[in-house]
Amino acid sequence: MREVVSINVGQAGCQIGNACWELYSQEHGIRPDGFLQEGLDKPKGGEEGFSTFFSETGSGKYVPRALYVDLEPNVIDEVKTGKYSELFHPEQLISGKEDAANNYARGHYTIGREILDDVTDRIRRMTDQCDGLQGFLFTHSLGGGTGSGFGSLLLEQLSIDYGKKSKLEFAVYPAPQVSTSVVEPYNTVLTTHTTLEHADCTFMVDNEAIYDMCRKNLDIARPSFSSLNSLIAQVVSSVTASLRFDGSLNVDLNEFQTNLVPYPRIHFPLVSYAPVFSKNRANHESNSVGEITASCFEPGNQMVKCDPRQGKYMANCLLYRGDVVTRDVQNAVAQAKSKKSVQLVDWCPTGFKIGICYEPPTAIQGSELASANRAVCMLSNTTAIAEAWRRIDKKFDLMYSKRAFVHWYVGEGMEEGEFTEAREDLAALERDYIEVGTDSFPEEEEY
Amino acid sequence: MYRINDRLQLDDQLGTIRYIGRVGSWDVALGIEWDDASRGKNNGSVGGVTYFIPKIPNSVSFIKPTNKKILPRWTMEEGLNHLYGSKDEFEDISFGNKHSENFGFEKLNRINANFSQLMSISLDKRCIYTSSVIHLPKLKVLDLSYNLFTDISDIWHVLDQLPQLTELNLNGNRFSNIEEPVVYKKHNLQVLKLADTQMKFQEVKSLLVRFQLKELVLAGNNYTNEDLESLPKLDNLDLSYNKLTEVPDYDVKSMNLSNNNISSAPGNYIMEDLDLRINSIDSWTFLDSLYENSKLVSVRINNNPIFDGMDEEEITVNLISRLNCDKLVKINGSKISPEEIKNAELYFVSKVGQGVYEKPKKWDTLVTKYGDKTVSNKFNDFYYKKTKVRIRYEAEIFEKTVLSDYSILKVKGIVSSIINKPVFQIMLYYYLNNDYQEELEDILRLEDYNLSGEDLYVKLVS
Repeated sequence: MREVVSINVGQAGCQIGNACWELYSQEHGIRPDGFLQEGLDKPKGGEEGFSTFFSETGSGKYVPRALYVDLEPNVIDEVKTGKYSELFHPEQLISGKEDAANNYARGHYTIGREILDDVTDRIRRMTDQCDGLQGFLFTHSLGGGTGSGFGSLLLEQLSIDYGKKSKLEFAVYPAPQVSTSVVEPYNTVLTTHTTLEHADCTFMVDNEAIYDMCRKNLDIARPSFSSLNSLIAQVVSSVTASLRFDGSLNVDLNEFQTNLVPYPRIHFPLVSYAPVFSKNRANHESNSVGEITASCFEPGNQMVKCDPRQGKYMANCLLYRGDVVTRDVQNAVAQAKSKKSVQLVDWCPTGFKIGICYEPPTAIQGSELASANRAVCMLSNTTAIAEAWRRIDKKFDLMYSKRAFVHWYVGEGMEEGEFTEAREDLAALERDYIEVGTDSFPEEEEY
Repeated sequence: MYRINDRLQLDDQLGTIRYIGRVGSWDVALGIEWDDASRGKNNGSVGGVTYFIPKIPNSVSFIKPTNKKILPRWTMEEGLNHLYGSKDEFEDISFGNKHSENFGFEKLNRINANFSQLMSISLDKRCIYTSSVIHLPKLKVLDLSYNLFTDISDIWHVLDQLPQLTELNLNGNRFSNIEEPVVYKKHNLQVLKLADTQMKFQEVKSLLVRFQLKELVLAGNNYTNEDLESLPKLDNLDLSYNKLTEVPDYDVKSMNLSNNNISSAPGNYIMEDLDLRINSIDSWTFLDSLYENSKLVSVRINNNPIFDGMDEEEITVNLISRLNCDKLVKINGSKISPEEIKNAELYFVSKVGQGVYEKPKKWDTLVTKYGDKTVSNKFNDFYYKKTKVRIRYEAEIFEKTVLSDYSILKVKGIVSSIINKPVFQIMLYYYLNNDYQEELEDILRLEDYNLSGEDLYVKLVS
């Protein structure tokens, strides 16, 4: 048994958690009430993989190894009354009474501290049921108050409580199109600084990129959070597919790190996913292995807005899913390689890993995403992602140069010095990315 | 060797052989009508001689049968063994001095080579031209799109061997022989995709008697409304990328009509899901004709001329307020909540009141829900009751804007504040004619006197 506990923090985290668990249950053949679908005698995907994400109760019911935490009750109440309410045990859903008001300091210091003991207690109870806990999977936003503040607080605490257990994050990077507050840059910089040494691998999901995908690829005129989240869920599902189903690449959380993270701080792989197109295009677009592989190298299929052609790859994992044959994959990767735009750093001995998960992706009913019998997900650690940090740092600087909104944070007992400290850390991160992108022995160098 | 009507693939392009024989100085040439007309070089004529006339003008070119770019054709068995049965090891791919690492492909080969367990097979664009004996007892999904099949009996041969098959994709094949065998088996097929096959509608219908389908895809076949004929009951019907001008009336749950030329909807519709993206809808009456459909759950209608110059909010407001919202939960791909519906409808009603929009067919429903804001709305009341009175006091004349339903006492109050005398000392009267004057009584309203332009006179009593 190699269990993974999923922890969803804050409004965004909980809502994405919902979308993910809906998809996971369908992929494994679990009904919304936690029992097996008719006609199945065991969950899909093999005992080993399935039990990493679900536990079985005596009555034959399956329960997700998941925890929902929010400082205010609204979103959790939706889970409790929603379609999947019976899937979860009430103990797994924790909500406070007072929200973090988009304020990192409230989530991290004042309000968050009060709920921390309760949350770590429940996590302890969940991990006690595990035979061989692999680690934790976090889902939270960087811009909100609970997701950033309490998320980082909990990560710190888990580092103390569980030492070396892996902690992977799916972090929603803020975007002006679907923004909820002006202080998102502050929260993002503060939480990134705090979690930089605690999270082992962070998959960022840029709301702007997802928003554009919804508009352009799925042709949704006014993408709402639920449109964004169901697309994010599909991506999260394909990243975690190798943990949940038999596969030979990234079979456990540690392997994500060994494959993708050359230095502890450089732990923000870029995720790309294909195919993403609307139902009315399904019979007109080719879904061949070659096409979907090529799409993965297109900026339009990336989860973060940045240009990998301007950067260098340190590591790259391609994970295929569903109905593919070896020869096609081989040809597709050879094609992708021949593109001039794929550049790898010279100091890393290996660069490309290719794996396969034999289960096809599942489409949620009513989703705008066309169903496909194959898909590919690319995880690449590229220096280009530093662009995302540069963008948010710039926004941070604009406000902080005038100390705008800082009083809200100071009022919650935070010291102003933490802003400067966090900002310096991020500047150092940007420099780190420049450094790893520089060739160790530049070819044009002369003696 | 090739025969007339055989299909072939050259590089990435598919075409039909329409002529075999001498052309110019070539002893044997193949006259190809390309599926993608832009690949063609002429209209079936070379050097002044016309060999045949293609269906689409200028979609023809002549090639030598020995052309090395023509891809070899396979039988289905060959294609299957070639791809799924292959024991190819993943050859090393190197990036400069680095090598790719591959995981799980040996097992993938093992899984794929075990034909008796395979559930899904994709043989799209693999130059397969004929069926063969295959053993795939568990196969559920088969993709044979963009191959070189020409004889429908090959497809029957395949189907007869696949008892479990539920989904078959034949997109992009062009069948020249659709003859029906007299005896046929029923199949369990649920999903049949015939996009871009250019099949005639009768031909499609003749195939359907074998199945009880849930989903049928007929996209990209250049159908017009005249071509359409009745279809059995279906869950999903895809007629996108055709040349329809009206919404056809079929008993289906979900219909995809995007990328047509639709501008009218004359039928009585009961579908739940309707996709009308990229059509020629240019008037609101179209939405009125859809209003009768109370089963509509989801509709997509963006990119039509009627919405040109409108922003997304306005489009959504109009759709909500003109369509039947009994079950509607999704517009243009986004979910809508009951609050949004209420807000949009209220906004729309007020806009109709201001004359921005014409009354839609749904108007009666909106009026029963929210009341008719065009007749009595607070703003309008105020506007119509506004009136001016001219008041004379001794030598002074002053004008005041008041409402016609003000009581006389209230008018006296206004006067009192102007002339700075207590209300009880003020008496108001007007001249009925030159010598008869009538006093205005406190408890009556201005409008009761039906004054039209007469001046009011102030007299002080002690």
